[in-house]
Amino acid sequence: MIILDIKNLTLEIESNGVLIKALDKVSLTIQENEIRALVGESGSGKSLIVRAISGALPPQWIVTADRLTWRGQNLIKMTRAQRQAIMRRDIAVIFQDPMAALDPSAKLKDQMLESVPREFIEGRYFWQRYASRLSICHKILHKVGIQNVEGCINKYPHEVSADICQKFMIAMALVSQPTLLIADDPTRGMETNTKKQILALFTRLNKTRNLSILFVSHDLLAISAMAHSMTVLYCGQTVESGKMKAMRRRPLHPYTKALMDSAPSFSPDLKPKSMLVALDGTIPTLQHLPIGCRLGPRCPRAAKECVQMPTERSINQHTYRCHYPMHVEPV
Amino acid sequence: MITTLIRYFNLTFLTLLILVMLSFGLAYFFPGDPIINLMGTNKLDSQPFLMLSSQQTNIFMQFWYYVQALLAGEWGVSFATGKPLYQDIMRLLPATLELSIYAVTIALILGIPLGFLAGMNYHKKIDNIFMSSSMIMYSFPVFWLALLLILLISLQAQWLPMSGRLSLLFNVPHYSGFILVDILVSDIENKRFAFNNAVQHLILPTLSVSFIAFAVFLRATRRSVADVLETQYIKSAQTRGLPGKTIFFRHVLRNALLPVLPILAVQISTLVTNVMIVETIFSWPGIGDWLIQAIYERDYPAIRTGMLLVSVVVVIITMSLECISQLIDPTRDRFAYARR
Amino acid sequence: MLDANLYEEELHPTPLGATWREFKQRHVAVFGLVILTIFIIVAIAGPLLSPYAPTTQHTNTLLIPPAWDDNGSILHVLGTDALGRDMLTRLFYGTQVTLFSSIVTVFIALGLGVAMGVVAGMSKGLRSSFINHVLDILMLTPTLLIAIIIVAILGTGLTNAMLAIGLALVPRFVHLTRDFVREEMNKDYIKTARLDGANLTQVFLFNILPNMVELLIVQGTLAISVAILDISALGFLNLGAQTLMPELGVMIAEGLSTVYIAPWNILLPGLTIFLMVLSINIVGDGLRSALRNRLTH
Repeated sequence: MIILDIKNLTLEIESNGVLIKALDKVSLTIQENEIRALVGESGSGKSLIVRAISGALPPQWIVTADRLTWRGQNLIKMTRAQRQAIMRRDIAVIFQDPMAALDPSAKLKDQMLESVPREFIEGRYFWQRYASRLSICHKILHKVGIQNVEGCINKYPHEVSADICQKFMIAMALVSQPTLLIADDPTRGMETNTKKQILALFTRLNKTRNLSILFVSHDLLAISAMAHSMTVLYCGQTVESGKMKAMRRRPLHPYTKALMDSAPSFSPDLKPKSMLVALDGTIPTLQHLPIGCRLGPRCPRAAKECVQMPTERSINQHTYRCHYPMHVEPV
Repeated sequence: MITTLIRYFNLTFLTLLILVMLSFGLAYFFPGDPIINLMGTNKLDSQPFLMLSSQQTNIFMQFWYYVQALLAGEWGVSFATGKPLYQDIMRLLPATLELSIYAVTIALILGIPLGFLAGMNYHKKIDNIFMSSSMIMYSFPVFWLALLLILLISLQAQWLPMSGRLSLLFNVPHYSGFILVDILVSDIENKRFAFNNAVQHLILPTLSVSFIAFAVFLRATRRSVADVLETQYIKSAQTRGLPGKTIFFRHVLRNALLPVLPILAVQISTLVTNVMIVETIFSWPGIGDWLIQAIYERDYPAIRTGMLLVSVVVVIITMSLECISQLIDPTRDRFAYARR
Repeated sequence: MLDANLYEEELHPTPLGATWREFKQRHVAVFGLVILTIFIIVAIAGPLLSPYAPTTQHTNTLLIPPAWDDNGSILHVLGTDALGRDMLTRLFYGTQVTLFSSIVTVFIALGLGVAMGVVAGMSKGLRSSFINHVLDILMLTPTLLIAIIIVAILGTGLTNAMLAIGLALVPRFVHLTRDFVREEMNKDYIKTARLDGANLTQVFLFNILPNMVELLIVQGTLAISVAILDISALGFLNLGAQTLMPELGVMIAEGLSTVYIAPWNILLPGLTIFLMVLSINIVGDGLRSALRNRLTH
């Protein structure tokens, strides 16, 4: 069952008198119990999607979409209070830099305790409620994998290491038992061991708690092991979207192929001093978007047709947006 | 925590020591005989001064006896009045303290909440009104403001008196030096009239001093609140769906007030300067007026002792504020004066 | 019709240009700048334009109100004081004295403060902490007390007042530069410069100083307003400029004796001080906001 359905989401902002589109007809769906990866270079608008879903966009942005629904409820038309209610219970967001996302002047215990939703607390008197809150927090912190709960919980954020902070943020997100967890590049800058721990945690949560995850990242190696499906974003547009296995075996869009190839593989038959595979050029700025397909100037397979914007087509739930997709006979 | 307290104790003690040394050294810098500058006259018959004035002592012994005299309450005699300085100062200090305390309290009570209001409505209309009015308010020269208030309110409209602490009709016995406390504690008749009269005398001086302090606190709080609202943790708290009131009272309040405390500490010295100027204009019988009279009359012992006392009070208050802010703020970088 | 230039010009202003563009967008700041420029022009050119001298006493025109009053005359546009001296001329000279003495004081305090702050920031150890401690004591003492002490030692006069205010301003600049230099020394671009072989002086002159200039300008502007307020306060209390000099604080003090019948003698000089300080504060605040925002717009 689809829980989050985004179709043709467009985000525009006025800059120096000109309306520029930061996100152009982005489509994304998330099913129950699914881990979807959202991949793209920096500047492609991944964080904007997260903010659009959670409603944290500043009022200058103009949001239009054919569908932006959560379990059938239209998110754009809702009042702020309803949106907040959904954000509190059903959707949880984890941000990039865990230390910055925690209040530096409050102990970790206090921050955790205030995130517990009122429905889970038992007890009439406030000491009973406090004890019940504390026990819920302890349970979740253990589940998340923090060993020394007693020691960590009484410290301040700047006194614990980054991975404990990140696990703590995950615990705070989980305490309200959400249905969807949006992780905005949570493992950025982490060393491999901690990254593996966090990713293993996500997989475990997905299996045991029916938690869907939207994992936004540009670390292909990490997510290709874990994700069920993937959406590739380039410069504000979805270029390809589909099941992970299919995309890994047969990427249809040249950009996806370039992304897959650019992940360094340390295979023994790599020739010394061979060039790393990458596309030439950089992502264009929003003020100077190329007409037609946005990958046009950089694409090695570009042809005359590519000055027109390709429409979205799909083969077996594998959508792509290209005039000359790979592995497919041209239409 | 104990280490912080000990460190601040040390710091305060060192600072006080340097101030006393400065005060001692001034006796040598001021024109005239140093011994006479220290004591006020050249015949005093208390033990430390006797030792001081004997010819054999060198400068270090003189300093030691000076410290002894200070601690014993023998502060010498004023050039102008010939009376012991200790009595004079102790009579006048509470008046200055009263004025300063009331002015700071009003500035804080009005400035900080309004600063919060302005910061939460950052760059909206209400914020712009506060910003422009606070900028106008703290550009006023304090002496001109006091004169304007006297002109408009005392002379033109005749609503409030323009000098002194209390009308001469009332005779309030000295209890603590704080006039409102004294009136409430004493048992003269017409207590209510005396109280009203004292309050009327208090309004204009307090207003002049708190006007500027209020503007500074408002701006500092607003800037701090605006900075806090931009941070990632407030935004993530909002995204988590925490109710606005919780976010405000538990996170914004504490994080916004913590940087304001050092600003408050620095403002104290400006406040004391302003209080001294206002005392002269309103003939408010306090230390500031007395010191300025002393400089007109070149009353060196009075200047020295008065300066020492005011500096000591300012230093103690500022150091305690810094100590408190260090203790309650978990995020302050623990560097101070002794970082290697 | 076809544009030969396929790509639009991308506007990349210099930091100075970006600051000015940001500054221009706040109309209040530009207004303040205009008023400040008027004051500076008045301070430089005013004394040359006025027909009277500030100290000549016109004994047959004592205490004339300003020209818009019934008893006023156009010969003395803003009236005269109790000794018959023309108010407008005295305001011109007074602006000159107050403004220039404040600017000079702040410059000297800035130079001293920056020098000491840089030394304290770049060196580590007992020397820096001792300097810091002494200067912090200086910063805690109220300005008026410092002025009283200096007047008691050296006597009254405008130069002594400037010395006192300068002494009170130096610790502020030392703190500022020391904190800034300390923070910058830990940054990577300094490390790069030092790895390249620069010694400390070169690091300071070519790497740290350009980044510090804007901060110093903003703080210096605000310090000028504080200096104006303090110098005129000292003049008012007769501890600074003495009665012979046309200084704005002194004028207010002199006008006190005739305040019932001639209130313009205190209103006009005070208004001048107020407007000067207000314009400097507006410009300083606008600069600070412009510097803060120029990267995000």
